[in-house]
Amino acid sequence: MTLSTGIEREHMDAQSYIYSAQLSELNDSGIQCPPHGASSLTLNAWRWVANPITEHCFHPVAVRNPPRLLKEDTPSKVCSCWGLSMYLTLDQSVLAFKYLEKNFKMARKRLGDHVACISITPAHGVCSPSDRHGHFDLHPYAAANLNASVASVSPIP
Amino acid sequence: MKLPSIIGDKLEPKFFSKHTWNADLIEFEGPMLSLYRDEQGQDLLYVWLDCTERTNRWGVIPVSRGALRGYLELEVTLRDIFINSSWIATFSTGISPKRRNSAKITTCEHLPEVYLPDEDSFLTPEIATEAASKLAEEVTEEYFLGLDGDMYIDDIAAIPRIYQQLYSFHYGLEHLHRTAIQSTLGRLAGNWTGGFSAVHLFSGLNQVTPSIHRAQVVEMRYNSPGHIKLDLLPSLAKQIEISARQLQDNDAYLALEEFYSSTYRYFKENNINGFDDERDSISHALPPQVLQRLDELVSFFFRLMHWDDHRAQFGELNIDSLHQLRALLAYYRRLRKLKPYLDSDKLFLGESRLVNTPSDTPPEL
Repeated sequence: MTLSTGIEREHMDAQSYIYSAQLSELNDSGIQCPPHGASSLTLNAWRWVANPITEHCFHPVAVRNPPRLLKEDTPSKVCSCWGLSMYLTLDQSVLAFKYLEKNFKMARKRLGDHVACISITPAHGVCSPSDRHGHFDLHPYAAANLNASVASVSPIP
Repeated sequence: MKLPSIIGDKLEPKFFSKHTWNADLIEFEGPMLSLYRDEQGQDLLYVWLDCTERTNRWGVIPVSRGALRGYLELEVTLRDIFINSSWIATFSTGISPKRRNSAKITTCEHLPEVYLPDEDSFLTPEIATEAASKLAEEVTEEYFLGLDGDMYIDDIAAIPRIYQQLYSFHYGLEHLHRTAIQSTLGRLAGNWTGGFSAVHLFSGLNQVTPSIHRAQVVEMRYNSPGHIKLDLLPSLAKQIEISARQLQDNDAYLALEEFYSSTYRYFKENNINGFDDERDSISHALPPQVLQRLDELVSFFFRLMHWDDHRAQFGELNIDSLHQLRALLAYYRRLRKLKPYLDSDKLFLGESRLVNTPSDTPPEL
C-alpha cells in the first residue's frame, strides 16, 4: 500500500467526486466528507459483490434503489452513505461477512455472495482511514471505473 | 421475487411514528441494526430482515435494559433477544425510507426461520459500530439519593423529577458527540425560533437516552432516614454533585444568584423577552454586540458551575448564544429547587443515612 502526497490530493477539487454535489452539501452542514484523514492510496482492496458484477455493485447506499435506510435524512447527514465499503485483506472481509451473516441470515441477498479484489489507485478516489478491522470507505472520483479494476472474484465461503 | 409471508395481525403505520432513533449498532453502507425508543421509554431494535429488488423488510423488537446491555457486552445473542421478545413488528420500506408499508405484528414463533439470527449471533467488534462500542463502554452503578426529615408527597415527587431533568441535561452535555443528541438539540433549536420550551429540552434529551444509561430506580425506602437507590452513570451523578456544591457554597451561590439577576437585567435592558418563561417568545434578530455579550455570559456560567471542560463543544452546537443561555438558565432554575432540600439536610447526593444505621444491619443468627 502506498500513500500519495497531500499536494496531489489537494489538487483534486470537490467537483472530481461522483457525488460531489452531495459531499459539498455535507461539508456545508459541518460534516467533513470525505472524512478527516482520507487519502489517495494504491492498494488491493476487497469488496462484497454480486456475481456477475454489475455497475450496481459500486453504487453507495444513498443512491441504491430501494435504499436500505430507515430515515429519509440519513444520506444528508452520514458521510459513509456516499462511500463504498472495502476491506484491506480478504480474511478481514470474509470474517466481517461471517459475523454479519450470523445476525442477518439474508445478508447475501443484499450485500452479495462474492468478494472482489479491486486494484485501487489514487485515480479511483480517496480512502477513509481504515478501522482496526480493516474496513474503510472509498469515495470515488467521477472518472473512476471500478468495475474495470476488479482483479479477481471469488465466492464468500 | 417475493418475500416469505408473515402470519400476524395488521398494524397501522402510525405504530412506528413515535419511535425515536438513538444509534446504529450494526451498519454496513446503511443501518442493519438500530436502537430506537418508543414514547413510553421502551428500547426497540430495528433489524434488517430481508429484501427484494423493490423493498427492504425490517423487524422491530422490544429489548430490555438487561438484554441490551448483554448484547452490547457479547453475553446475549440477537437470537436470544428475538426468542425472548413478546412481540415482533415487521414492515417494509420502498423508495422512501420513511414509509412503513405492510406492517404486521407477530411473535417469534410465527416468524420465518430464515429471519431468526444464528445461535452465535453476537455483536462482535468486527461488526459493531463505534456508537455501539461507546454505549457498551459506559457502565451504570448504584447511587443513593439520601432522604431525611419530614417529607411530603410533593417532596417525594419533586426530588426525582428535578434530578431526572438535571441528569438528562448532563447526559446531553457529556454526549454532545452523539448524532442523536446533536439532532435532538438541533431540532429543538429549530423549534426555539418559534418558541422555546425548556420542558421539551429536558424531555427531548431524556428521549434519546438509551435505557442502559437512564437512571433506574433500584430501591425506594423511607422511614426517616430513607433513600432512593438508583442505577445510573456515575460520571453524570458526579456532575450534578459538582453543580449542587455551588449551591451549598455560600460565595459560589451568591455569585450564581448575582449572575442570574444581572442576566435578567441585561435581557430587560435589551428587550430580550422570555427570560424566565419556560415557553419563551419568538426570538428576534439581535445585534452582534448583544450576541457577543450573551456568549460571554454563557462562558461565565460554565465557569461558575465548574463545567469548563464542556464549554468549547457546547459553543460548537448549531444554537445561537441566546438559546444556549436560555437552556442554561432553565437548568439553573431546576438545580436551585434542590437547594432547600440540601440546606435542610433532607436530601443527600450520593449517600444514604439509612444504609449504615444499626437498624439496617441484619440480625445475627
